[in-house]
Amino acid sequence: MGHPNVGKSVIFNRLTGADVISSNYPGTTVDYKKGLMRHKGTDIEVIDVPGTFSLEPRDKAEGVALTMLKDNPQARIICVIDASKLERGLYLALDLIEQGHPLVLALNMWDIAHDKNINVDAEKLSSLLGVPVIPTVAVSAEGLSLLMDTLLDAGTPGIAEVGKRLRLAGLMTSQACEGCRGCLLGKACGEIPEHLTSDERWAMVEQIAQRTVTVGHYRHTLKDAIGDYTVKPLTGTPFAIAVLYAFWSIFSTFSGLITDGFMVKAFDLYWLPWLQEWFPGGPGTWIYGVMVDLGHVKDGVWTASTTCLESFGVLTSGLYLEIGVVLPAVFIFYIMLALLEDVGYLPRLAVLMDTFLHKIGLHGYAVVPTILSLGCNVPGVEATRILETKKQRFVMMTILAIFIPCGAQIAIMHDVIPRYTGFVMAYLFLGYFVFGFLLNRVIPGTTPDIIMDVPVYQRPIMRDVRRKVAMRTKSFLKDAIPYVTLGILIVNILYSQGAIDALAKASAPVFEGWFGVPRQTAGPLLAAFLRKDLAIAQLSAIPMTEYQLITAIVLVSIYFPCIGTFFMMLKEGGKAFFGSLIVLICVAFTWVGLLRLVWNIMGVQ
Amino acid sequence: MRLSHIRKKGIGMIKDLYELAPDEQGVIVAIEGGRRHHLTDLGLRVGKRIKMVTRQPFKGPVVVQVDQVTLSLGKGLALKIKVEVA
Amino acid sequence: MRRVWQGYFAFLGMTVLSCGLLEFLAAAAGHQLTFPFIAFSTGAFRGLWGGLVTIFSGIFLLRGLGDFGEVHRMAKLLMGCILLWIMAATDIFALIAAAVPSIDSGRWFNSGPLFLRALAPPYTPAVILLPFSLPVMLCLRRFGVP
Repeated sequence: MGHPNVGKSVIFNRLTGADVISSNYPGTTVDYKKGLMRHKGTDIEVIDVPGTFSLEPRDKAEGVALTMLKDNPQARIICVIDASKLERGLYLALDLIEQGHPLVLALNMWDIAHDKNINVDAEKLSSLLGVPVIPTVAVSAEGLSLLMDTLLDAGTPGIAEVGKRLRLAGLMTSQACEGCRGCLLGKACGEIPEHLTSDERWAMVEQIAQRTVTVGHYRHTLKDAIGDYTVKPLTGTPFAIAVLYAFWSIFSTFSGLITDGFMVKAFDLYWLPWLQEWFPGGPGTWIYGVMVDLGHVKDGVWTASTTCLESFGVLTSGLYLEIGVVLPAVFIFYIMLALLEDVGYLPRLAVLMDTFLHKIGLHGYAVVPTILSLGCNVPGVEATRILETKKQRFVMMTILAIFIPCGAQIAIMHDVIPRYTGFVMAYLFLGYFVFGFLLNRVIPGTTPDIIMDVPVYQRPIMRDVRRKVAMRTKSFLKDAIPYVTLGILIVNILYSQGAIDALAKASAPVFEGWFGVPRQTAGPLLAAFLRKDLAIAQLSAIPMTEYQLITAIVLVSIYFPCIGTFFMMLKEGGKAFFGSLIVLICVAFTWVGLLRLVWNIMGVQ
Repeated sequence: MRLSHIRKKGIGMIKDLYELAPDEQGVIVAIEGGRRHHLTDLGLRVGKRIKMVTRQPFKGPVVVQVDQVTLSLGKGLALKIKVEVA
Repeated sequence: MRRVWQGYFAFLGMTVLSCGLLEFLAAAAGHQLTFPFIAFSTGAFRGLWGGLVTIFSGIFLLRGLGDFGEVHRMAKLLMGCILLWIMAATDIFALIAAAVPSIDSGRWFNSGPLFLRALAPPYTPAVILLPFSLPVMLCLRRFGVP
């Protein structure tokens, strides 16, 4: 247990080998994770608890931690404290000691404290608190085995004990005193307390800290100066612009290299023809059409497709899209995200963005779900948990699902309309802010101010980066492939049954009248419910002008969350989700309709 | 400048945290409002030395340093923390 | 010695700034300013956004002068270099990425000589100026900044 971002998840990972994501912005762990570790021949269950500042639950995460304690009275606790922020951590530690569980204190991030010239006398601290105190550097696993050894021998001192020890350390005067509150606070002797009030606890914290922490001369190093400059608006904003440029440029280059450079060849020149030849049935049969190649009719003759994109087969388009186009994009995205996270830049970005985000009723924190959503909307919506009020969560969830395209969509857009991807993204982002602003005005409630730690820059630990990327990519694949396969299968079957045509005819007035796109967009829109990237690919096969394609793509991005996001929204938002849907429909008609208006004014089709 | 918030008291002037200039330092003398415990959790208590690092434009948050830790606070909060400048 | 460093970075800063301006303006005007050795604008994205970052880089470098050696100035100098390195790195990455796969549908990779030929100039100013920014490391060491 411990504060957010002290390294609990890192310790958990090093002890159990389990995959948990650790970051330096709050809200990363919101549910507790269980893992198993082997220590000296026995299997021990270890639980990673979301960060809490105290045991008075103020938001979901803290409530979870408290429940954990109540449900497991026999549990031994590793209280993780950031050695460079001892006072904060001590408050929670004293609280935990009061609870009476066997406890060990892990004084983590020892290396950072050292860099800051902060020294903590661990032995003294231990003698004052009556619990073992072990310095650790979780990211390099130092001190962890000692930690585990000590944990199994840990005792349960209780708070009166702490008072007693403080007295012994020279605080109190009276011999008869048994460490009651009175002495600590300079009052007369009183009864032996069971619980301290908040102020009393802080007083105790200060007493302990005074005796154990020595701070050397604080030199403002180059790293600190850069740390400050990257958060100051005048210097930080250009830097942020550069970082975002690098992000986008690397993303573009990498996905271009892998997809256009290799995947297209592999799929179009080898996979497709091979399947076309080998797959049972041959052209014309139903199963062939659905699984491999639907083909198209040219001049009255059925001709085979030449690229995986147009073939529409489950095994061809499906695999090509997910593995050839989307996977490389998502992969590089996650790598860069993990690097930015670990280096400590994201909180600074959040501070820089907070001003603007506050205008739309959100926090700087909102940067996190937004960036996550650019990878995949599902974890992005999940991350809205870190926002404090219902209103914020609703607004964020809604505009995320509506306006932020996921990495898969972006990758396919890049493939299909490379020159206009930027424009589409800009238009969507504009919608994000505009509607965020409107929603903020319309929905009652205020947004609390931001309070956030700005961590020191540090070298990213490649091991953690690798782990995070592997985890996120794997979970993405698990979500992607089944749904794409299902999507193409269903759409193809519907096509062959003529259901799509019927649907298209029925909705023609809406599509052609209001949006100005051909009626066949009904088909891909159906597929968009399952996977949006698939829908965009299918759109590109329908004959229409470039501008119509742009409108259609914007429509697909906005109109309905993909099934993964759909379920996540239900889970996170509950009833509010239906409110989101209504907003969505309104937005779809207005924002996309507006686009069509723009085309009309420009005089293009 | 919000003159009503600047009074002379004892050695130094008392200002809202929000009004400190970059690199200006002081000691926290009071914290108003209902979110006190959030602030104390992060180490901002009466008696602590605090230093302003930067402000963000358009009524944005401030970045401050307490006990060698850098954090960011929204404007509303920064207005509720009173600091004796010294 | 200090004077020499200051002069050097002043010159570098101004060069970077001017190149950035050129890139940005060329892209804004829609021109592709490409010479045999140096390519100023290769497209809207690189020119506008990338040019902007290059301009910032130049500004940071210039702001790093003044009380040379002092921590805050050095920080700005280093940040200016970092921005330049970001531009150079992304440009080089793009260059290599374009050179690796073969356009010929028969092969996967470009053959050795073809690969090298694809890496040939023209280069963007950031790439060309990259080696000139490396002395900043020496500078940092010399002035005792960790």
